[in-house]
Amino acid sequence: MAIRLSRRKIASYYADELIAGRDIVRSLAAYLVDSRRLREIELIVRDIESALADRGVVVADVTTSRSLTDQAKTAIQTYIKATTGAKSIELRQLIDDDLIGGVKVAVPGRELDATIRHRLNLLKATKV
Amino acid sequence: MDYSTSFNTFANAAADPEKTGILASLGIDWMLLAFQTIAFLILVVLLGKFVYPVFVRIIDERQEKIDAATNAAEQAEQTAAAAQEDVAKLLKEARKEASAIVATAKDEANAAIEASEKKAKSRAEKIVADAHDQIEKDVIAARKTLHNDTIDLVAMATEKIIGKTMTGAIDDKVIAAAVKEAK
Amino acid sequence: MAELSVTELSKDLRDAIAQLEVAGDLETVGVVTRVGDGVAWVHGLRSAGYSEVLQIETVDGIVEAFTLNLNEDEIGAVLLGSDEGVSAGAKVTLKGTVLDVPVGPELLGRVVDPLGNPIDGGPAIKTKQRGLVEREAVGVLGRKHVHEPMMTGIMAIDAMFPIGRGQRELIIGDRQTGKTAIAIDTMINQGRQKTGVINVYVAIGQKLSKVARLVERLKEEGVMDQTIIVATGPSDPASLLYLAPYAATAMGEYFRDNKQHALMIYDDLTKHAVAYRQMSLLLRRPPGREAFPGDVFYLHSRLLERSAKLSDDLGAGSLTALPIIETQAGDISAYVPTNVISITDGQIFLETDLFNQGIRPAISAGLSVSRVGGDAQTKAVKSVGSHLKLGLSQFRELASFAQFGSDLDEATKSQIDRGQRLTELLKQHQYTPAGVWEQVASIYAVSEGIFDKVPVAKIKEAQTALLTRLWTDHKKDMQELNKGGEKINGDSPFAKLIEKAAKSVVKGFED
Repeated sequence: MAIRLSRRKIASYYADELIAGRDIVRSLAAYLVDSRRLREIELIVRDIESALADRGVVVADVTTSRSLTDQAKTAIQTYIKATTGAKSIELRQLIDDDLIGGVKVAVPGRELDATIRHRLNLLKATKV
Repeated sequence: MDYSTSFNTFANAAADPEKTGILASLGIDWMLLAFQTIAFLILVVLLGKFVYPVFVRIIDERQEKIDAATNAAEQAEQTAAAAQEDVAKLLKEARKEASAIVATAKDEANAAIEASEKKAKSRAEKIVADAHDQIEKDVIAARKTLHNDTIDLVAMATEKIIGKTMTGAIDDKVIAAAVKEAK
Repeated sequence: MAELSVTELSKDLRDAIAQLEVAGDLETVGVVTRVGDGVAWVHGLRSAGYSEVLQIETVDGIVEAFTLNLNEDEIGAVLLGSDEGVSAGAKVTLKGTVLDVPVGPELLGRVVDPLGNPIDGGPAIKTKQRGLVEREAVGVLGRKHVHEPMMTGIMAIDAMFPIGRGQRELIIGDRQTGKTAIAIDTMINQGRQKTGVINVYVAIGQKLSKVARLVERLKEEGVMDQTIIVATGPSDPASLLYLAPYAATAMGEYFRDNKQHALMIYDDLTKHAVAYRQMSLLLRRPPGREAFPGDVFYLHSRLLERSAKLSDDLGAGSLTALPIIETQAGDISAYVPTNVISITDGQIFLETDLFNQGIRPAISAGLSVSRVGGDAQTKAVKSVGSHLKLGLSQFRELASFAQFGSDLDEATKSQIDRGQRLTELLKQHQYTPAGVWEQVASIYAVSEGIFDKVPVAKIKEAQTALLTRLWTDHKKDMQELNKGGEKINGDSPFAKLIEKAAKSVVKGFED
């Protein structure tokens, strides 16, 4: 039996492949099926994202309660660049009514939660 | 009677050589006197040898008995005195002991009383302290509830009000501010 | 006294609104991938360190956890609260600290959980300092040999197996043999003798009703003001049971480091090891003997090593530990008991048989030992107690011989008689710890044979009488004797006092 590879190694390999411009979907899918690690698929995607972030390619999830204006988008992009030092940024926009207002920016391994919902949660956490 | 006759004869005989006249006149016969003297001496010897010792022994024995009796009496007296002394000593000791026991009992009783008094006192104090504690705890609990209720209220109010007043323009401002402020 | 007021309400409101205005920063986050049985597995948070506190966001607020497994791909963390609200996908952030608890004199008289939160219904505890839960023990140069006595007030222990300040003395025995009773008496004695020693009692998975009764008792005895109780119940998560002794030791160390003396009571370490075993198995660490993980020795050795007598340079404070271990059917060769026996500086072994014979405390003279306490014994107790142990163990041997009914010579008989009286004397009711002078007077009266005429059954009565007599008649002397600085032998004036009083007491008890 082959040695069970750590997710980090797999992720780092596929991140390099992606940066080299190759299509990795089929290969990764085949590997996961073959090694019976389909359950870890989400985690591997996360790991690949963070491996990419280490190489300067940041995929960010931006969650807001309504769709973003271009102005806001640029502001967020500058912010991410400033904090992560990324060379290229890809924004994934998500809409969540429950947030009430504000924005949540999630880059691999880090997160900025500036939503009203989060503030309310923090307030509730001060209950004794 | 025999004796007197022979004594007389003996006396006559003894007085004879010197003053036969006086002796004879007194009727003392020297021979008889001598004879009687010898008989007397023999009698003395015999008595001394056989009779007196018996008497002496009897008397000695009696004396001894008397002495013994006296001794016994004395001893009895002494024993009696000693006994009395012993009794006195025992009594004294018994009294001492009794007082020791009583003292111990008293000590114990005192200790017991003290302990129970102390217990009662501390119990009373404890009841008071417990009551105070309880009141304080209730106040603290009430405070806590108030605090939590306040927070809930603020959170709920904020959620409702912001939910209604939030518009795209305001949201943009909030987002811009957040991104600017965040490090 | 606490008061409710409108000002307070408005302050609460203001604080709440101010809290809303705090904007977030970019935080390092991870995500919960699996959760169950009090253990959460976290993805991300690569910068997390060992034993660092994590905060998991849940619907009902924040649940804390601390990391114990750091793997290449994920972190295993043990939850410090209920795992009910924690779900897979929950956000995890680093708190930025390793585990610490509030420490300081503000904790005295309180009952807290292992995180330092009050559970006695009292006000919140605000201390100036916090202490690390996992802290390294003092090194060689920071230590001094154990030389001051830690009087337990139990004659059998103080005379035969003395404990010194800074010592670790194990209390071991089956269930229901009076292990906790010894510990509690020791705490009470600290109050009675006004030694100023701070008690820290750690209940590890103990029934909370038992803890409540203990608190009640300590309050009654007036010792609660110098006591901290760290309590965990059987229904608390294993993580809290695991943390309890370390957190409590941190609280005790505060006093040790501030030139004071503290006494730790871990009740009991068997349950602690079991809690740790549970955590380890859930964290998938390989099980070893009796399914305990490999580091169960280190678990207890690093805990008990923190008890020490500090050198003069460090203030000469001390931390004494009385860990308790429960055995099964007297088996002291099980895994955890042998470990702790080898770690500690001696043990007090309690036997079920003795307990059932009415010899309480049921201390086994043969199996108990104190390896360092001898130097710490006061001269007075040492002088009367030196032959006690030998005499008692000889008596036990002879007594078993005598059971065969053979004819005994006078010497043996008197040895047995003396032994019986000593055994009787060492019986002691719970909650009646004895001071130095009481111990010295009692033991002297019996071991010198003054009480030989008192029937065995009346020894305790005679002892009480003697002590009351001595206290009422010679209070000053007894207070002097209580300092324990003088040897007690035939020539000392104290010995003469005791002898005289004992002789007069005996008269009341002769047949």
